[in-house]
Amino acid sequence: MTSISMENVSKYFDSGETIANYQLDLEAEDGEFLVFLGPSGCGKTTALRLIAGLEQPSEGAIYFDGERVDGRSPSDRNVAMVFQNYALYPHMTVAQNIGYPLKVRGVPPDERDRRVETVTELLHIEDQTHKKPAALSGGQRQRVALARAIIREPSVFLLDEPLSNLDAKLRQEMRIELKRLQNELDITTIYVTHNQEEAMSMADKVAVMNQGTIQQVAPPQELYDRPRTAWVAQFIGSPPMNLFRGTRRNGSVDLGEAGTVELEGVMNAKAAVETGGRDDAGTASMLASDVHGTVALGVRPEDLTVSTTRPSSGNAIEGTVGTIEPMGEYDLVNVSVNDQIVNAKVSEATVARDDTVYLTFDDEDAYLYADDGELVV
Amino acid sequence: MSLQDRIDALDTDRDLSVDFDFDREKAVALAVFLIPGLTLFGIFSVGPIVYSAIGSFFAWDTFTMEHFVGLDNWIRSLTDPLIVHWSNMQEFRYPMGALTHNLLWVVVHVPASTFLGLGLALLFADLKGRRILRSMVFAGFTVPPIVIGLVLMFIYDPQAGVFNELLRVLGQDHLVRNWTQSPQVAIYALIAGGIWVHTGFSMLLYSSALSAIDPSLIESAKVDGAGPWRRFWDVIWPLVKPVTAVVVIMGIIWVMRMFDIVYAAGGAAGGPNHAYSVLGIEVYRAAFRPEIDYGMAMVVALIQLFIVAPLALYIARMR
Repeated sequence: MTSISMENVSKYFDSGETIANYQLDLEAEDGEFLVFLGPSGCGKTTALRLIAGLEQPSEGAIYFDGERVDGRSPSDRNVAMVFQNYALYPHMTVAQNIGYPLKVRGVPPDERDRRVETVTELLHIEDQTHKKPAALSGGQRQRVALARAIIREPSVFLLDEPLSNLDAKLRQEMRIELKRLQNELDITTIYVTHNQEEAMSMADKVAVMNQGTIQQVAPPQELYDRPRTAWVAQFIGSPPMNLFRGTRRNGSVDLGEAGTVELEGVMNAKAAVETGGRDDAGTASMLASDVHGTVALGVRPEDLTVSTTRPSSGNAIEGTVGTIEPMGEYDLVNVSVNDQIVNAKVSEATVARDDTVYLTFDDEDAYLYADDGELVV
Repeated sequence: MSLQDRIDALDTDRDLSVDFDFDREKAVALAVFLIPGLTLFGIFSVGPIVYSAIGSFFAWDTFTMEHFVGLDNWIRSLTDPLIVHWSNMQEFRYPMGALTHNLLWVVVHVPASTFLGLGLALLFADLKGRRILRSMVFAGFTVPPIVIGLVLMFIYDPQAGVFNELLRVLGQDHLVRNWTQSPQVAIYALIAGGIWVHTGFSMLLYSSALSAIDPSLIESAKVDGAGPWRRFWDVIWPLVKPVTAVVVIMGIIWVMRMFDIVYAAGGAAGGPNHAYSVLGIEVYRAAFRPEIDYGMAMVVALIQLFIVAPLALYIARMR
């Protein structure tokens, strides 16, 4: 059992020309399921390879259980890795593939066979052991790769987009299977994906990455409830959070023709929710009338209510209905607010195209992001 | 048989003949497309082989076929010391006969150029500037072999040669000699040259085989705990093995057809007192140098063919 920590880890390629990772700070607890989530090219795979030892950091340190491991080879770190394309040895049978890590470690053949049998049963591939990888389906290959990774009981389990080559149904199945395995084996697991659904459903903790840096590390629910930057807010959720651009003036956000949103209620609602929150002085300074600047007001589509009449009290944002997308489970209303398209998720759309509508929301569902993308409240 | 039956039978006949017509059309089309290629193949490949096969059983007056002599040409050629020199072979003294020399090329040249090619391919695989290095090594293979032979003459020249100069620099003056004209070592000097040339070819094939290996396989093996040596034996070698078959067979074919390098270094005699003559040289000499012995030329050429053809066939039929 191992805890992993990265301290200020940076990785540069092409003698500093390309920055793959910049000052990553991360802790993964013993037995935790940590997911690196981010768009392609954000450096999440490089971060995983740094932990695996397939790349060495340009700066910073990596610790396993407090012991510094950067500079060590992958085999010295006792990590197991599942590659995106599975990386099964094409000339070996399934059994030989799975048994290979044990063979390298000099485990006697009898013991090897016994353990291969155990893991193939665990992953339901006991009938495939004599076949070559080429004769297997995608899902079976995936299972073989998993079996090869878990057979030697590694201290860290690394998965690089393991489900991305599978079809939707199989992906769903394997997601459950992976989660079950991780629960059973209780191995510290780091999982790389660009699919937020995978991340949210499996992770104990998600590290959201963009452009080589970690944007936020939080459990899935917190990531959804309190996205720390505008970028995370727009990355998590489907469809993503709406950000209304406006100017802050006299304790409210001016959205131009679409109206203004009073901040006081938003502030108070957040202060009540927040644990250990911001001090009152901070809140007061937020509300101070002399503070100006461009801000973004974030509201998730599912928290917006669409009505055709202006509500008597509370904040309302005016807009024009564009298209309506019926999704079956809900209707997605695209509303144009100041030339900006925002989404509202409603159970049943009662509005029509070109209607003028008012978008309302509860104060505690609103987020305010400063010009630099940081969460204000 | 009723009338109806006869009509039915006629109908079936007609159906059959329609089918047959269709097939004949297809056959004609096939023939039209095949004839040009087959004609060339027949005139330049099958024809000469059949002609030599028949001719090898006849007596020849220069280029005119005379009477049937049975196995006479074959027996005469195979017992000729120029082809296989049994007594010299027992004493390990050159010349040992052209066929023996050819087989010696196979035994020394083929493994050496194969392993060197693999070694260089592995060495260059992750190196910066590997393209330039590969091109430099492969350049030798692009040079006409006759030129290689001439280059070797220069390299091994007792006065001006680089190789002898190197020996002098290393203080090995007693080894300095005219390498291509010293019967006991000349063949190895030429084989060394052949290895230099052919290594480029095997390196190129291995390089492409190596670059076809998915890098994540190697990384996976690294994570699985395999060191460089294990990674080579367990992952890389099994995956480049099919290429090895091609490299080895192409190498054997190349040395069995050896002519130019030997001719450049030793002329039509194949070195002093035929010291490193090969089958190709013997064919040439028997056919075009007096005393012309056309029957023997055909026999020796057929021997070459018997060795090379199955190998070529094997390569051609590999998946």
